[in-house]
Amino acid sequence: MRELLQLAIAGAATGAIYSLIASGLTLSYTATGIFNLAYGAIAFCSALLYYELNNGLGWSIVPAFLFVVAIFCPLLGLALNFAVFRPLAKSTDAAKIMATVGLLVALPAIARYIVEGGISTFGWGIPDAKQVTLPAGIFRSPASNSNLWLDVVVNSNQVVVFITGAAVAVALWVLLRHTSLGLHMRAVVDKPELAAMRGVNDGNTSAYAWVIGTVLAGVAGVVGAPIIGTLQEGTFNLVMFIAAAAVVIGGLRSIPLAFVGGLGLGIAETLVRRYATFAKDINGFNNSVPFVLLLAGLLFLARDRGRRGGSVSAQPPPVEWTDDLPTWRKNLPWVIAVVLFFVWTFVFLRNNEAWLGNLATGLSLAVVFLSFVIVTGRGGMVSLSQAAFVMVAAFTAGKVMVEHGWPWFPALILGSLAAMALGIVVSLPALRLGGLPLALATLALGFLGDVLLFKWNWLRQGQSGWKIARPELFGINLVDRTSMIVFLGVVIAAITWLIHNLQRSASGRAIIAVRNSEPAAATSGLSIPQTKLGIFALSAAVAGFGGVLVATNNGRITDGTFVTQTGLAWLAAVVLFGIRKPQGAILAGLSTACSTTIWNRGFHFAFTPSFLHWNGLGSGTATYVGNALFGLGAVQLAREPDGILAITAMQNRARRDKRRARQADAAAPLPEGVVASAPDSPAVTLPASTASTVPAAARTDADAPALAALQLTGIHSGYGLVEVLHGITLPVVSGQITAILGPNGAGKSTLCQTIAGLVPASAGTIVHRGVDVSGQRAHQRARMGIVLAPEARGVFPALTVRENLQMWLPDAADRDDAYGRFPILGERRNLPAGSLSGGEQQMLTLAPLLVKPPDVLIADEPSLGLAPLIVEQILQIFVELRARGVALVLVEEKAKGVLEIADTVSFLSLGRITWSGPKSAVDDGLLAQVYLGQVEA
Amino acid sequence: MEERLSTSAALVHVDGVTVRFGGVVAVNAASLSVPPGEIRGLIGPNGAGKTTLFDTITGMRLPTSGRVIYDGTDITDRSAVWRSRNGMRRTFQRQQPFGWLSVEDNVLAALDYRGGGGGIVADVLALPSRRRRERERRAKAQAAVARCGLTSLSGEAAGRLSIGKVRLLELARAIVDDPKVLLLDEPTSGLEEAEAEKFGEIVSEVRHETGCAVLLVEHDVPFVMGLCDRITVLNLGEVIAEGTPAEVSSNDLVRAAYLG
Repeated sequence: MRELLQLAIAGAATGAIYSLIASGLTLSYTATGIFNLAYGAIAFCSALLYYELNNGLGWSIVPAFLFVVAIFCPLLGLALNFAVFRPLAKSTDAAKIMATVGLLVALPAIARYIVEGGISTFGWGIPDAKQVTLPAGIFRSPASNSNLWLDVVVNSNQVVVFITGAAVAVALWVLLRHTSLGLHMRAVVDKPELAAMRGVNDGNTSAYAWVIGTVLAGVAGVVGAPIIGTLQEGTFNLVMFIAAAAVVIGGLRSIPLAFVGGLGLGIAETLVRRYATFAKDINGFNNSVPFVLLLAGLLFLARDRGRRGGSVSAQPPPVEWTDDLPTWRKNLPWVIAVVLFFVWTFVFLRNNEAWLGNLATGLSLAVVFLSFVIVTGRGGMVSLSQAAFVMVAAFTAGKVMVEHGWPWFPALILGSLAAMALGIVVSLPALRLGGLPLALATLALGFLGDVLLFKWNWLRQGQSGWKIARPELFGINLVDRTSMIVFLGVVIAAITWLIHNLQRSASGRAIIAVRNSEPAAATSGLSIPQTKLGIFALSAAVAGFGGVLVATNNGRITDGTFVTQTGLAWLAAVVLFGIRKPQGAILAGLSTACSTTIWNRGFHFAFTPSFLHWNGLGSGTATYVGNALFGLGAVQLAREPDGILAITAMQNRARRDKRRARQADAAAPLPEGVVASAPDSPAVTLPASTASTVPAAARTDADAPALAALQLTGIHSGYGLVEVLHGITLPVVSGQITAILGPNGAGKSTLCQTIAGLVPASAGTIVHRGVDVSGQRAHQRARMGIVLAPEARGVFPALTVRENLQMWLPDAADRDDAYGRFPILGERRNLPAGSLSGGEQQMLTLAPLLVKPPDVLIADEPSLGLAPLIVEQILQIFVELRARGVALVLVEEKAKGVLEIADTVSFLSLGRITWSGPKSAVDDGLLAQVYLGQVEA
Repeated sequence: MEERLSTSAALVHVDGVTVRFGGVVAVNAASLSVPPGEIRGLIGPNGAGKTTLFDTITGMRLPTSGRVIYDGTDITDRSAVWRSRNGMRRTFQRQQPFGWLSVEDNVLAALDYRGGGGGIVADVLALPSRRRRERERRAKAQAAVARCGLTSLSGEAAGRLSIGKVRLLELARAIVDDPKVLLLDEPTSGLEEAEAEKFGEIVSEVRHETGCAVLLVEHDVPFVMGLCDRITVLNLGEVIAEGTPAEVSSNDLVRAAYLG
């Protein structure tokens, strides 16, 4: 019993760190949609900074701690928000993951570089922190022990972690439940567009979420460092990935569950380590627990998805900047590059063994990197387990060569097949998961490889690993570096050719089809599981093939050669150079292998004059510079699937286009049906004047323009390239009800969203009381009094009735008015709005507006799906609002109810107003004509 | 499962299908039968359950209860892929082009399941037999592209087409494999009148040539009245009327459902 308690306390201390990290991750993920894989890196940077301030510069505990968590972390959070996360908000899941992987690589490298560069260059008198095994916490150091009851001991570091954990839990609870910032954050999570229509600026909540999230990471790093027991970025990343399991336990959205999950994980880990004696012969079993839980949790989350439908890919097709050139001209630069490469290798580097070694390593890494082109570049799925394929292939090849005397080439093939088999295993989650959950699942499987599979002595041959000698192949001795380089060149050419074939084939089309639209693929006879399995199997086989080549080049493979985290740095490098094309992978491979040497020792080439020689940065910090550059590059280029290559190609294209424009007066016209505007230059044209351009049709009421609270003039809008509204002109007058009627698909909801500012108008103006609001965002229009009650109930289902009212009525007295008016809402004030009936939800939408009437209210299908009696009550609310001077727009598909109270009526059909006039002019004949075409009863 | 169900001569027979999401009944015990060669319209106001019924027929959603019988076989449990490979093809209300592929490759992809042996391995190695069969399929895809009037755009990425051209592209993709049933979900929404007319012409041509059945959801009532042989009206998940266009448009229930 004493032992159990003792273990539980130790486990709970680790667990409290997981809880801190999991809470911060969940908070920032739910508030911004970005799962920050660099969270462990931020915790590491904070811990390192605290260590240097406290231990290196001798600051005392309180100022050092406050400096880290109250100054450094908030500033870092703000900087990341503006530089990285806000621009990513509308990107694909894959881009978000790749960008945060870039940060994970870059941040610790920058921190290390500053510390160690400062020491070596400026002679700073601080420790480099590399060998620290027991960093001091924010309390006693060394830690003191206290006896609880029954001789159970708790040390001061553990006490600090517990207190911090409890304090953070309480602070988060207070923040989210009892402050308006917390309410707004939860509202944005629940329904982002509705929050904007209540005047909440999601840019602000996002900034706050990142500041709070970063501070939590900093606290976890500083307080947790003594328990984590090291100042290595890899360990901090590992802790974060374990905490990811707690986030998944919380369903990726519940902070309390994530918190409890973190504690549970810590305790479970410790207990398994002690009591799972049945598994004591399995190396690494203990460490595998969190990753098994992470994987199980992800699959559990996906359980109720069933058959998926309707997922729409909004990604525009990638632009081929060279499609104006003939094929030979497109390939010319690459042919020249290859020729130069080999000439250089054979002429200038002939006897430079070190550089030849670098190039050979680079080319064999390039083969591995080509596997990213297949799975992520073409398939659009982020796989974070590529290092595992490399390892399993190299181990398999090494084992059969050493133990069974296989020749090199068959061993290479067998290794690739082993990787392919593992690839099929890793693809199984992909059949259910996509985007972030899939990336996390591959990460979990990669770590399971690290801690379990590659610790298996049968496979890894102890610590020493397998020796893989460079063989003689078809009479060519690959021991010679130049022969090896030529051989690798041929291999890369062959794989590039295979990828080229794949792209042009039925399988290649299926890959893109599944990526662009799963529903359309399935209904076009293309099997989604088969396609995804094929992508992973092929990608894993290529990674494995490259893995055996890398191991051959190194001469040996051990279980420490590559780990999953190495794979993350690889991904960052490939993203930097361009993940969609083989050329990007090849450049990334060469750069990865050569960058450390270049930064370290510089370059001295026999053929260049000596003033071009450079001595490098000296050993030690070179790796950091490379990682920082690759990482930051990946952060910036994650949204650009072609990386650096695309940027140079784009610049060249711009130059060519300019030249052509000079040569010919006019550009060739686009074929009919192609939308002309380039994706990055939306054609927004706003007519200069408003009143003078109002067409006669709009002047149904003689002096409407003068009285109009809101005047729409010539509004065009739509989604992406699809225009839905083709020029809407409409005055909305205070104290009047304007009904907009029309069948499904007429553009009614688009009109509502355009007025509210959720959908930007591509042309035309919206003027509110003399102020042009066309350029204002939704939350700004809401603050000016233009409010939309959206279709399908304008409530936040996860917030309580009281909190829903609070979004519009911060004063308790105002809320009491609303309860007085609608007693049923008062009775249910503490229930989540999602549990109310449809009619009650519609009351909850309108109740706050009755207490504090807006200037303009647009109601989109307010009677949809409601019983006739309820509809009657809702309509009475609109009548009351009209009497109080609100300008009302009621949009309905069905004419009957709304016609009883409307003052003016407009019919909308296929994005145009087809009839407009006073209600008295509407009769049955007109309605039949509008709704059922020309057919008369 | 394979036994022939001789309950009717219908090609597609929806038998008492109910679909629930949580507590909401989207489709309630709906039944309808479409014989080969008929163009059937499916109309109804917002939220009537039309698209849900389409999803159930094409295998994208399992019904809570009821059966879907296709060509005499109960296919309620068959996958969407099986159905599409066996002559059931559809278009989407929310457009679903393969945006990165060219127009021609979009249509070709819908035939690619007939690629022949070897799969991805044969593709990667560019085996000649596989390439030859692809050339045959490509000729067929080009014919479908031409029929829909898209030949001049066949090399253009589908993601850069206008809404009207994507509707035609989805039609080409749906007819290229000579389907027995063609399901069109709001094919003319967002189209100009001339484009809608052209669309209707292609659909009736295909029907005359191949004798396929067509099931279409549409809000443009004049278009439906002009094109369809018979019309089924859904309201709040239930079939409330069925008949010729003239019968349906004079039906009081239908007028009530539309006018509120």
